[in-house]
Amino acid sequence: MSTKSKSQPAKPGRPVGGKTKRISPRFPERLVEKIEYAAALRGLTVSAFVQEAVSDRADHVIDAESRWELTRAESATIRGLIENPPETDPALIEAAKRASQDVIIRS
Amino acid sequence: MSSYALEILAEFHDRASFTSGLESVDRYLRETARGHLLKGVSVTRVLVEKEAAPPKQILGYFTLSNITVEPKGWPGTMKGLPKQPLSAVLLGRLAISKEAQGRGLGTILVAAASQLARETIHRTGGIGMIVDAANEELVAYYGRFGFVRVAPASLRMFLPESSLATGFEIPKV
Repeated sequence: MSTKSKSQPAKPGRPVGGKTKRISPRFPERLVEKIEYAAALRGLTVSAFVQEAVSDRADHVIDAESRWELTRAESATIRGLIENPPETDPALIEAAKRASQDVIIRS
Repeated sequence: MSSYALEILAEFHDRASFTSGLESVDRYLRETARGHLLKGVSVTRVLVEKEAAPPKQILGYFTLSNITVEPKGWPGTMKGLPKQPLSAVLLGRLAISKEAQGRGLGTILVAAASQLARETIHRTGGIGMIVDAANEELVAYYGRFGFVRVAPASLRMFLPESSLATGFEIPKV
């Protein structure tokens, strides 16, 4: 991925923020046309449009690895499992037995 | 007599040639796992032959990290559980190299990850282990060890701490 940094003065329709850095992802041609069209509809540059679209998605992905806000359905499942924990599955016991014989933990 | 060793990912492990067949987990090991380890984001452990010499071939790996579970909107009251965010251990990634597949090493890594998760919970608290399965096939795989899918369309699975108890322990040297 090629990168290039430069200071970016704030201009209408341009990405907001200080220093910018160039990345060069490759997109299918039809998607590029779609992105350009959508950006034009919003009155944004392609950069600003792509930034806006991927920023939330990136936050979500990063967040999902460290914080989990439960939905109602997930809450119900977790709650049920904590209140009535299932017996350890025989397959997990068998796996632990084999691991205790075949592996050592060095660090 | 044990044949394999589990080690925290280090520079003497051959990350570059690891191929499991799932690009996202291969790339994570090659490009991100070391950085996450150094920054304290997560800990990646690799499975190697016990007598392997550097650069050690990686047979498989898994990544554990802490995750905060926010029990917002618990339906009904939950006796004995606080309302503040809770801790759990997340098994974010687990993979076996193509050459080592078919030897049952995934089973060993699931057991090892469960043991380490349980030890962490014993030391610092937590509700259990969460598994992020990469696809439906792996949901079925983890389901065989008892992990329960948290919602119908989700690839996230869970088991409370007491359901990870096996009575066996992998020795530490």
